[in-house]
Amino acid sequence: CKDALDIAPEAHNSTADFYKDESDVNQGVMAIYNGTLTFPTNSQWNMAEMRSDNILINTALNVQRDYADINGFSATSQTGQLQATWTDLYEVVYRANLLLEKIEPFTFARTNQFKGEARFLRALSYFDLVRYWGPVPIADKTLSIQDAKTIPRSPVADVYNFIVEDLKFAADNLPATYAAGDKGRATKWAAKALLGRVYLTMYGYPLKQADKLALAKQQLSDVIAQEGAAGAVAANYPDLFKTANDNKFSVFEIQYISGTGGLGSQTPSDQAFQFPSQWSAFQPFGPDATVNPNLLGAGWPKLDKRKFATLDSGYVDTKTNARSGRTQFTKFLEKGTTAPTGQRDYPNNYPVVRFEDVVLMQAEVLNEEVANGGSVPAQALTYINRIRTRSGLKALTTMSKEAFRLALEQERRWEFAAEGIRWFDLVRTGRALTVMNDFIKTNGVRHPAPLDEHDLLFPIPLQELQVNPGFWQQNPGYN
Amino acid sequence: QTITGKVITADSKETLPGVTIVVKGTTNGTSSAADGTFSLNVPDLNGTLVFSFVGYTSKEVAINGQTKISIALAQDTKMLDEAVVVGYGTQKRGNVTGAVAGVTAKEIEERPVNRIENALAGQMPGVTVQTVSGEPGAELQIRVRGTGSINASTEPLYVVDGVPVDNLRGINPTDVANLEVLKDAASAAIYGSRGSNGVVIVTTKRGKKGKAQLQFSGYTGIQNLERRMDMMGPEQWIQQRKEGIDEAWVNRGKTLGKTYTANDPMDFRARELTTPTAVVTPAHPNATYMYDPKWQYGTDSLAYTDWQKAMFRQAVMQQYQIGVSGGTDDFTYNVNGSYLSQQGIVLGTNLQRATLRANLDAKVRKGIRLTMTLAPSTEWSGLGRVDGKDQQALNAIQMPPVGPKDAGVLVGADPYPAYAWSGRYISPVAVMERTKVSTTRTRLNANMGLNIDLIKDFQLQLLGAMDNNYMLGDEFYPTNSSRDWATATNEGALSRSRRTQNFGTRYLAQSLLSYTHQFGDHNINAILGASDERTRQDNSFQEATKLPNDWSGLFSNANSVTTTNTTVPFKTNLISVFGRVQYNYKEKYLVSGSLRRDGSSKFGANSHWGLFPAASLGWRLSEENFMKNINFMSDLKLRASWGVTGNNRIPDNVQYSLLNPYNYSLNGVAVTGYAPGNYANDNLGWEQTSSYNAGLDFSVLRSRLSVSADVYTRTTSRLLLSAIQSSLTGFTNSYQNIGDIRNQGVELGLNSRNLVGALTWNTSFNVSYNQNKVLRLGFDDNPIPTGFTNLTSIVQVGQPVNAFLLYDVIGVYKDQKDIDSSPHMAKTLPGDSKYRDVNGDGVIDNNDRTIVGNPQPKFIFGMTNNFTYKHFDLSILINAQQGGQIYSLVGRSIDRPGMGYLYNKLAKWENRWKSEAEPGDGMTPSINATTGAYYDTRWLYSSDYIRLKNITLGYTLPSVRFYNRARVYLALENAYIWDKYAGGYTPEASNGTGLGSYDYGGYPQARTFTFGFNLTL
Repeated sequence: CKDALDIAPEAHNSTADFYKDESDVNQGVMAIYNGTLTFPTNSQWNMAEMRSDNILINTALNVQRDYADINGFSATSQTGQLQATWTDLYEVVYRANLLLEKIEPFTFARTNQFKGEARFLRALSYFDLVRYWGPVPIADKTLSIQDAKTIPRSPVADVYNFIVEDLKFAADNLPATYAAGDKGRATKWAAKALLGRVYLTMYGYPLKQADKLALAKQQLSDVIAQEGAAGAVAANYPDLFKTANDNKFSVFEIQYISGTGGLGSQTPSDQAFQFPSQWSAFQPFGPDATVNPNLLGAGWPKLDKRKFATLDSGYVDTKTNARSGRTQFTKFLEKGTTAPTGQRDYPNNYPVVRFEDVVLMQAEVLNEEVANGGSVPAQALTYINRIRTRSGLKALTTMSKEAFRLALEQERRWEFAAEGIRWFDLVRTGRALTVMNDFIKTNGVRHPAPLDEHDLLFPIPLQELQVNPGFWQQNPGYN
Repeated sequence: QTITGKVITADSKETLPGVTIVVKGTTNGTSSAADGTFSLNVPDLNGTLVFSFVGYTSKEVAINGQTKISIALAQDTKMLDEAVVVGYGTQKRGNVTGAVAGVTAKEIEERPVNRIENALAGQMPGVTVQTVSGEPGAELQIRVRGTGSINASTEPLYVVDGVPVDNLRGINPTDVANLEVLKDAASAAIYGSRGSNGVVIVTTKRGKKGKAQLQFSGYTGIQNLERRMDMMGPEQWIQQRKEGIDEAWVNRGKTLGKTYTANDPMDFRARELTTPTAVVTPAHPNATYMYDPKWQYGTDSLAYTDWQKAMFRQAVMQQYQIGVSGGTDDFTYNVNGSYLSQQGIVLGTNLQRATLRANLDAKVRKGIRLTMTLAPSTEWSGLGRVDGKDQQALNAIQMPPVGPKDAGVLVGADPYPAYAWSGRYISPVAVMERTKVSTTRTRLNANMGLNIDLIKDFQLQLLGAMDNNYMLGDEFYPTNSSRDWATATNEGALSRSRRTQNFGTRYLAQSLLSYTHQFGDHNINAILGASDERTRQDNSFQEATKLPNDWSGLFSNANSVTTTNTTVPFKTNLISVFGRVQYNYKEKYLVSGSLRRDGSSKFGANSHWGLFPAASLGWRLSEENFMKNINFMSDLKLRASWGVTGNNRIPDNVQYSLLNPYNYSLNGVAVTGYAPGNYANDNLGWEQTSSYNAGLDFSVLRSRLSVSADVYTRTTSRLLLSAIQSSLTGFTNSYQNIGDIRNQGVELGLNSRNLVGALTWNTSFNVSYNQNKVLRLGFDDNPIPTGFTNLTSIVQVGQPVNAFLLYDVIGVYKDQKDIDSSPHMAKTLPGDSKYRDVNGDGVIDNNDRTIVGNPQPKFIFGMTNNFTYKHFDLSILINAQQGGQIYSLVGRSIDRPGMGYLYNKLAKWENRWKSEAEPGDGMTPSINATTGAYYDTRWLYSSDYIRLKNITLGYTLPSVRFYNRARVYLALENAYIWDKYAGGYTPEASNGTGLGSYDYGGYPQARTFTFGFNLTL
């Protein structure tokens, strides 16, 4: 009788009978990468970019969506997007932890590479978690329901140290390059570039650890030295976002393909509101009237090639003759591609760390090394001008350290618009409150008081608090 | 000539008024007067008089020349002797010790219902039947004695002719002879692991010995929308649209650093909006910042559409049935065929059903009887697209009531663009007409049994049964039913086609040994049985996109891209042994005990088996000598029972940590990845309910009034719940055995014969009260959030299950002064909803969310009044519920601030807060209120209602030689409803996908007017 009642599921494996060999473990690693497919939507676009002044949601045109609350600084612990992002990031943490446990008995050649990949992706998740929510709980192993209730929120510094440890391990154990069939996995340079960004963030707000500047410099210069192998500055900006150039320029990209169901990108759909038929068969679903006019009007010269690669100011539909005068982000849309089978099925990769970013971060590091009141070092100017001139802008000439900070801020805003970088830049450089209060005032965003420090973090999603009421404190200033 | 006489009762010798006295074979008759006397004119003194009276055995007296005939009528004890179907057998009604209620064919036959469950509403105490969707043929929600489970199914177990089945879909209501509900655990425990939510036992009609009878019946009727929603009309919509445009204009000024005002004329705005590439004029306006010049001409230039009128229609419903029954000593048969055709009240929805049921009984040898049933049925339907979030019932109310003149009800659908002053949308009429959804469900229910009389008193029953269900669903959504048709690159670019195939089989093998013995005054009946039930379910689903054109949904790899292709098999197994002993002494003292052991493959390896005992006692006081002299009391019985039942109805395989494919791509090529898809729980086990029931049955005044009352308490422990958990575990929820719930209640059923005689009036009334309370949760009693995105309801110790936990709205902040002087949130602005400061700490925050109600009604009522006069009969059924709430997410999605000005809203938005000068009705906030993201009580409504559920007026034609019985009737179903629900179509709606009860726009219910007939030859 007992046998008759133990009916194993036919169409699935279960954890008990999987992870038997290297192929199984490798598939476990792929599942961690799979968890990052939603990051560009749930993290980079809906949370980071949406919080920044690149975007202005016109509440008269948009029915209420979570992105409007995030953009207008009125998101609450009940805002569904916060829960979705939190869950998404911790799901990758869980899959990484599971892999690290299941791989324990094995000693095949790629063991350390697999561990490095798991820890790289875990660090990637925690880096977003700590920047959105500040002190977050650290799950460093798989947890039962009961155990999960006992993990406190760790201080921000501890979370960063945890991230640094993971990335150091990854940098030490990941290969510098992969065979063609494995292209797209995290490399040593991906780990180092991300570590450089983490150190630069630790140097800035809120930790302000001065010693991290030198550490950032080391990591970034290691990557810059590998231009060609680790990635490259794209000579022609629009090339960066073409499927044909996947894995060519960026240090690390999230991989997408069309037509297989669930492995495509929805970023082009997230960011735009309406496409003419000659661009795509599928209408996007992004917010109406998204692009902050200030991004256009802030002296972004017409001759900057990036402007037209990033934005569209309208179109005439060749089929219906319908006209649109809307400005929208179409950076990630490869116009006219016929590959997708739906709105969430675009084939081009999403860059997590671009080589341009590594170069501009290094420029920032060099400038920060200068004493206050000093002028920008020549090497920093060389770096920024490399990015500028390839886009058709004039080279900058020498200026004060402080002026260069603002020039970099502006340059990064143009270079990385719609890539989820602006908000984090503003926060770590301590500029967020100034810039965003101006944004609120200028655009008549309904907000009762000027933004303050609490607005730099999001509230912990209510459901997570309710799992163990009273155990975690909500972030200050939120319900 | 005149015959006179008097009628008295046989036992107490009291006079009996209202007795019908007729000359046999004629319509010549009278009835007895208050003192029991009668007088009847007859043509001659031959023939026979028939005396009949409800509750008494009819008597025939030959006249034989007498002119004075006095008789005594004996009470008909048949009602108490009549067999009640209980699990695995029958029992005399008088000897039942559990809580059992039932309805018979009569209550079911003449109702225009497509699901038999519908006919149970309001008929029995303790049984709640909720029409959660008005879609033709949709499942109903049946709850017996409150909510004992949360995630595991709360549906009762259905047993048709002794065979457990998944549901009653495809069963023709007129095939049913009677329907019993086993409510208490002592009755249901014989079904062990599946008895927790009660057991509904359906017995179908079988043949009787005699001449073949031909029966033909049918009805045809018209259905209408029962109840409309109150939305803004075209003028009101235009008015609020203007205000929105002005607001956007002023905001644009702020962004550009210019001073624009709401009064700026259109030509000024046009000049301001003109750019080098686009010339804007009042005649070619910018729809974001300028008015439509056609607004001033109204319907001369624009189409005003009442979308509820456009979507809902007068729909025809009809059913016909033909049956043959009869038999000889050795063989009886009953064969019924039926056909139902029903249009839905929503455009483009329909249901057809054909059923056949053949029940055959044969005596094979002396002492060996064969029973068999063959019941195939097929349903063809075109349904779906209506219920729930983003579906067409919701779309119909949020459509702007104003649109371009030429487009009419096809606005937004190929070839008509959406109205420029609204958002992107497509007409729900076009969606319903252009999408093709067809489902065919075929069911074959077959069983065969052998009853063998072994030796004296012992009988062996062997039963084999099969229930096959096959569902084929085809859906085709062509590009021209998409709101983005205009920009599609080619005809089939946006087309989607889906095919779903589900094949389910259930096999049952069961043997049952029964023993019946009488020695002296002792009666004993015992059964011992074993059963093995296996199910297999194969579900497959394919979806293709990018089809070649807009007219063919057929797909293959060659002409489309298959985006989903899955096959999921499930198997389950349930092995059981069970036994029961019933004993009585002189039918006065009644004792019964049962035990069942069930093993289910659904649970973790450590907890396959469960044991389910039950015991009950009864005492028929009216049989005692000391009661014999109390004449007004005709029957009195006390009952008490206790039992344990289980519930295993959770999705299959949830106890395993199953690996799902989580693929990725490397260098442009898909690679396989695997990770757990759910949180594993090896210890997942039975949900168990232990129940106590005490009851009292009595009838008084010569059975004119009979009453049945029960009190019960049911405690469900190890509650199966898909509870939330910390995301740190990698998952947000999983199935757990997490707590205890108690349901306590009182039920009262009352049958009364108010008037007897020529005009009869019977009333049956039932009322039940149920209180539901969570006793314990998990290890730490932490409350568990549930409801929509886990933010509207809570499972909390001391509260009813899924109590609504919300911010309690007490008004609107009129101005800044009002904010400063009242408790408020950090970011409150004038025009925001004002919430109650529940904890009195002077600020509004999460701690002020409070329990404001729950979805379970406290009281349910049902009342049926039957009148007969001569050949006419009239029946009126009223049902009602009181004390529960419903959360309207349909209301929320068209009734919350932040939804902008583009779509339509509830009519009350006319009275919203607009400015400090125009504060509105004090309850409706500003469209821009910052509270739109909070879940609050503005969308919570009382679910109380009283419904005139059914009125049937019938006329029985005088019998003539051609037929035995002929009858016609008019019936009105859902005649009228009194309720307080403005947030949706019906207070019974429940169509959310999460936990808890909420309404996200459901298929409305219909009012149905039918004409029917019933002819027996």
